[in-house]
Amino acid sequence: MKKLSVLLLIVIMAITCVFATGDNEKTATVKQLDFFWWSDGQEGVAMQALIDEYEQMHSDIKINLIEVPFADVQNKIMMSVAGGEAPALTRTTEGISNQLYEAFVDFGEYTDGEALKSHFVSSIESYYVKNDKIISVPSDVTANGLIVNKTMFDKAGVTLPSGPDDIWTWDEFKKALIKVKAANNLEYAIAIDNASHRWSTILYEFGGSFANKNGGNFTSDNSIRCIEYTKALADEGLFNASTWITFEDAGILFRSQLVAAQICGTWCLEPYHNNITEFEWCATYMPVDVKRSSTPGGKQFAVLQDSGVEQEAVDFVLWATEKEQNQRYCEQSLFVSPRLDCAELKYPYRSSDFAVFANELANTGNEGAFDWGYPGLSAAFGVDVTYDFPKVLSGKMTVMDFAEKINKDINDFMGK
Amino acid sequence: MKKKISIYPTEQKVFPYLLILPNFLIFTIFIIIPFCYGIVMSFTNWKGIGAINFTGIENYIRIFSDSEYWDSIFRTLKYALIYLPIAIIVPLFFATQLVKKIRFRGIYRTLFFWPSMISPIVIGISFRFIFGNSTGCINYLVQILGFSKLNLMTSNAGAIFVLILASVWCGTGGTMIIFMSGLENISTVYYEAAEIDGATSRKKFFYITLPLLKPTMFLVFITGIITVFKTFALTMQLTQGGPGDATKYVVQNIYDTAFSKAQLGYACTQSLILTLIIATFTVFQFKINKGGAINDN
Repeated sequence: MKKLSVLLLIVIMAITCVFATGDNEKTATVKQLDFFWWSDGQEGVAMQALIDEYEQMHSDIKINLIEVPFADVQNKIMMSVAGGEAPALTRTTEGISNQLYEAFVDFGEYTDGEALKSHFVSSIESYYVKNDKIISVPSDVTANGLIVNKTMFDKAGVTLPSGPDDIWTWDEFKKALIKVKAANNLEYAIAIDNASHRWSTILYEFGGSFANKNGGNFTSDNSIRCIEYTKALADEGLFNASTWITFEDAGILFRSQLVAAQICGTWCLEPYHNNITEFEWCATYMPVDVKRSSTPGGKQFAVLQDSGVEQEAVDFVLWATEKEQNQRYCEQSLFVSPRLDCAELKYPYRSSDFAVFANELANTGNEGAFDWGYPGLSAAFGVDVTYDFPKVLSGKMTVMDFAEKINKDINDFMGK
Repeated sequence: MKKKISIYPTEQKVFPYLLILPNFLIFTIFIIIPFCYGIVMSFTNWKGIGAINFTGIENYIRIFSDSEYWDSIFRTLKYALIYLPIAIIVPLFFATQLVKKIRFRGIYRTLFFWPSMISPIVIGISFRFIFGNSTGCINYLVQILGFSKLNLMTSNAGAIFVLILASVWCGTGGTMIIFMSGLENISTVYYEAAEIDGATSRKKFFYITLPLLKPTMFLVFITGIITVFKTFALTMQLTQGGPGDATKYVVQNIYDTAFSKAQLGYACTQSLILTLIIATFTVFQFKINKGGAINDN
């Protein structure tokens, strides 16, 4: 009897260990929608307010905003889908959508796709339309641009561009950086967030790009010239390349006043407004080479397939991205709206900085939308750019070898 | 006299298996089955999402000309050659001191063991704060004292040095405990006999301690090799594989292939080849060292 009890206990323990699992509470009357989310600033608060309002209107819907670190979002979605536990919704970027769009529902199956697309700026269409399917709905548009420590620039006697008709060239900007560096006793003058998405802004201004419809464009004369110019900035001690070589946070360098300028994006405006109190800062116009450019980006809301609540999730997304809701969301979060009917938003602060970024976007060509919107393309070259550009800066790889390697990655991917 | 009831032979045979059943089930479900699934996936071009397409042995043909993969393997081997001797000698030294009856021995053991309980991610972040190029404490202090910055993290050798420092700091405690266990199992008779014969401490260490510690050293070496080849969390936080790809070791290469390049099928192939390399090395070591058996001579 004792042995039988022990035997039974072992079997029960084994089964419990194997099959113990958490349980998502679902009731028959309330549908739970898990929403994967990350926040750069206050957008989580703005979204929660929208969710609370929607739940009041729909008592049978409960939306759970699940905060996930940005660096983990793509993997978490992938693992959730592979494990059969896909969330109902997720916030996504063009980079994430590029890799995971096959797991997203086609909004065109739930609503009039052409009518939906007509609400949004055309330059970001490739970010949310893949293979003629509307795989997400834009929630905000971002733009890369230049933020400067105005206190340091004033101390150096450097005047910032007064408007779109007063844009400085890259050579003029470089001379300004030299003056600012000397006047403020800095080790470096400028930091650039990363070697791929942020640096591509400079690449497009030089007339280059990673790819085009014919395949890799990274070995073009303009692209090579841009790589060489960037290397020169690092060699001359103006550009703090440790953000690329040792992956230091460019935002920390800017906020700690270790650099006087940072190429980042609109998502920095809100956290910098809240956190920087020691010096004056502002957005200013990016320097120009052969042309002006930003790199358009943005976030979208996507609905995952096979969650069992696709219709409910689609309904929420379509409501949350309507004019009134999107306007409130963008104004509270300090985002630029992707909607054509929300061009004039009233921000509580930093309106002039937003105007600069909006103007940069308005003067942006289609190169960025191709590079970052072509399905799967950014994954093909992104890793090698991240690890090989630092080798170019430290002299361990030639500019041409780097360009040819990235071009090959792109051509192999595009089948050119 | 009462007859003693003996255990039935059938029960005697079955009972041990029942005791290992829970562990076996967990091992099968969480290790064996995913491993077999990984073998199947290695013959596909699955991106992690969407359709799974079988591609035959395409991935295995591709891997032999994948210079990035083999570069990461050789980088990992070079790292192992530098790291392993330090990761054995340092804990062994501390172990030999802490088996002696010294004051506050318990406190020292706790202090040395404590870093091994900290997550590698926390260690990586902490060491970045200390050794970071622009925002690290050391460079801040060095510059206050009027010296030039130490560009440790921007040079290959410097980054590897910081990585080894962090790895040894957090790994010493666990290895030290293993060595202490081995040392305490060596009979004192050998040392007493050596003492009588007038052997010095140095001779006792090299002619008694080290040979009798061979099984423990073998265990530490094998687990050390496996640990080096699995290096990931610490490097991702501390150097992210930089500068360039100087500290981008094989597991990070596989991770990038799987999740950054969305080539999960090919990443499974890379993982399988890595498993074969480690298994081959382990078998080879077993044969050379006779499974860690002490040489009677």
